[in-house]
Amino acid sequence: MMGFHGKVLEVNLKNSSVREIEIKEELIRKFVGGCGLGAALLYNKISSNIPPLSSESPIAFLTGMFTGLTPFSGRHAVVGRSPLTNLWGESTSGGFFGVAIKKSGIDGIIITGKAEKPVYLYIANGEVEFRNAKELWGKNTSETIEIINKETDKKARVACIGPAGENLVKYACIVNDTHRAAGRTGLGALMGSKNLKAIAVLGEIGLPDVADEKSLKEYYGELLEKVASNPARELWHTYGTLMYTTQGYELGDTPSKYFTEGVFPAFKISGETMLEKYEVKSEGCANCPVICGHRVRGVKMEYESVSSLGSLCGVYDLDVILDAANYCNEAGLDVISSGVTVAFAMYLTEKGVLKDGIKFGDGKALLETLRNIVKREGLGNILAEGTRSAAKTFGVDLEEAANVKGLEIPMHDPRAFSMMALTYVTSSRGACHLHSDYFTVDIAAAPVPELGVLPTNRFDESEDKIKMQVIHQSAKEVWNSYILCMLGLISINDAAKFHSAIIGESITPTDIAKIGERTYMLKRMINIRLGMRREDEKLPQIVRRPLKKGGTKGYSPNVEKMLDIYYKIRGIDEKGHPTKEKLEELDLKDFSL
Amino acid sequence: MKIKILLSALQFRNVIAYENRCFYIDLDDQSTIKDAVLAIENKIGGKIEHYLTRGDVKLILNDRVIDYKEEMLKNLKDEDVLIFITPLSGG
Ligand code: SF4
Repeated sequence: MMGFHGKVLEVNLKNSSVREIEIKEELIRKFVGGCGLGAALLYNKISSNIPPLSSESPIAFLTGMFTGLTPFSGRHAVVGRSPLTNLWGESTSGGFFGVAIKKSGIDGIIITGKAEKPVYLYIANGEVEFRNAKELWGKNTSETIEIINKETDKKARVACIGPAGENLVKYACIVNDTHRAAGRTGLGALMGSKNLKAIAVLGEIGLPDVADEKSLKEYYGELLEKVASNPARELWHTYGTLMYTTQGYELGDTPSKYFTEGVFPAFKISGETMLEKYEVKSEGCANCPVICGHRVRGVKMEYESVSSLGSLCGVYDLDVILDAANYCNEAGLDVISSGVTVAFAMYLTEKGVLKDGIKFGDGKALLETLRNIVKREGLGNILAEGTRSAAKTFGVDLEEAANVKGLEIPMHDPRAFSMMALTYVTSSRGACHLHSDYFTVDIAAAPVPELGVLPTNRFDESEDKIKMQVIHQSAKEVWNSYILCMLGLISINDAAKFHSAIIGESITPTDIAKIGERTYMLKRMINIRLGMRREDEKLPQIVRRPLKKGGTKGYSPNVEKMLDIYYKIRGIDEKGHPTKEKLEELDLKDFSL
Repeated sequence: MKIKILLSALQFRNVIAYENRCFYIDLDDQSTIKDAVLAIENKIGGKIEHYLTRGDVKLILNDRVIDYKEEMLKNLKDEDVLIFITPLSGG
């Protein structure tokens, strides 16, 4: 099969067994790889009767169609049932781990069962070894990776959990290649629940064949040239994602003090200040011509981490934010959910709900609370369950909990762009800022003219705009199936060319959007089977209350109205279910609801 | 008429300090977007228009990104807001 080895390993930790699952070409044709393929493979293995942290609950590590074959493809996907949302969970991560899987002669690994004692898997060129992880349990992520590299092979690539995953913190992440993370939806807790500390992969077999190697090479070279001449490349390389802080601030996109304030000293936590204050080292993923990653004092810093652990908590001291981000990376905590939950506690203190609670701007309290979350001590134990659950425990109105479907809202305020509000409520994993990252269309960073998706007024809620969001959301779905970097330096036209060369058939941007529509709907069907209803597709009041000052200009998205239109366009009935006709059109009849 | 200006784009840091990025300019009625850009260049003593024509910096006029090359001759009105940003994705 072109672009894939055609096999995924199914590992059962309960009885240390391994079996090979053949991946049929038809499945790749329909779902491409990565998260899409994951949804298809796990469709019948995930159900409402299987709690996310139970032994039977599966977790899969998958590569995409492009992994290792195109620029920006050094990524892998992790999928399963999220312990944070109880719905479909997925997250992708950069680095080298994905390419190592692909080069080891397999396309992915599905893991079920629970090991009796802590273990890690060592997969060398497709052969699985179960290794004792007793000495690793309790260790932070970089130490774990270092030890495993010593025990196995220094060329092995490692993905692991830290103490947060071991202690089943509901938003624990999976860290690979030190400080790259599959951050969202708490899949680190799934690993912890299986006593699985890490997976180390040595890939020396090589990448799978492609149909048209000559064209692939040609497109590869063309894209490298295009990127090299793009002035944005230099900016990305210099500042990384942190350069967005000051840009987002102007439009009210960068939030502060638990989404309650629109005016704050953004420059103090900007990429510019970071560069001025510290020595910054660049670090990239496999096959990347940009290298946008930044290490400051050895800590991987991103816009999302600086904003969630900084401005959202009212903290503007970069030293403190670096310490907090470092702690999250080492303990294996998702920075976004961590920042939002801590900020929630600070907000409740301000509101008088938590007596003697932690206060906005208190960096020491931020760090201490993060430690307590990981150790599950005191307030930390409540916050370790996520914002929605914490609100219930505190007896607070759920409208105050900044989440959608249980997933904490990321650092793009839905009052800054109408379509981000719609994206948050309709995304299959809850409040997701990547599927679709529509703000990038409205600031003209990454419109998709090939599909008629163009910038318009950022507060527009019209049917025409929602049509564009639906197309964009579908197209971006496929980014997690190819598993491409979300930076806008690879266009849908480029993706279509690579796809065509790999499989040897002509694929157009419209075909890509159709595959994305199918994938989106399949994940929605999984969620419906897991109990999701229309009522869950809503934005809490905390991010709808108009802000008096700042770049959101008092806008409050009318999500209910937009959702009605969205359902109609997507072929979804009033209950949130896909219509029969839509399922037929998308060739999803084999997947029963 | 008074036009509010926000020079937020990263590329402008060497011509204007971040804390000075927000100001108002006075323009004659019927002035165009291009007139505003030239007035800004005069005020800050630095060139910025080439960033707009190349597309490295985008111009947001009252919450909508405009295509500078196509819309530079469009008339402005009193209290319009022009935000200059570096268009970025991801993150
Ligand atoms: S641009 Fe950054 S995130 Fe994307 S592939 Fe390159 S280094 Fe990785």
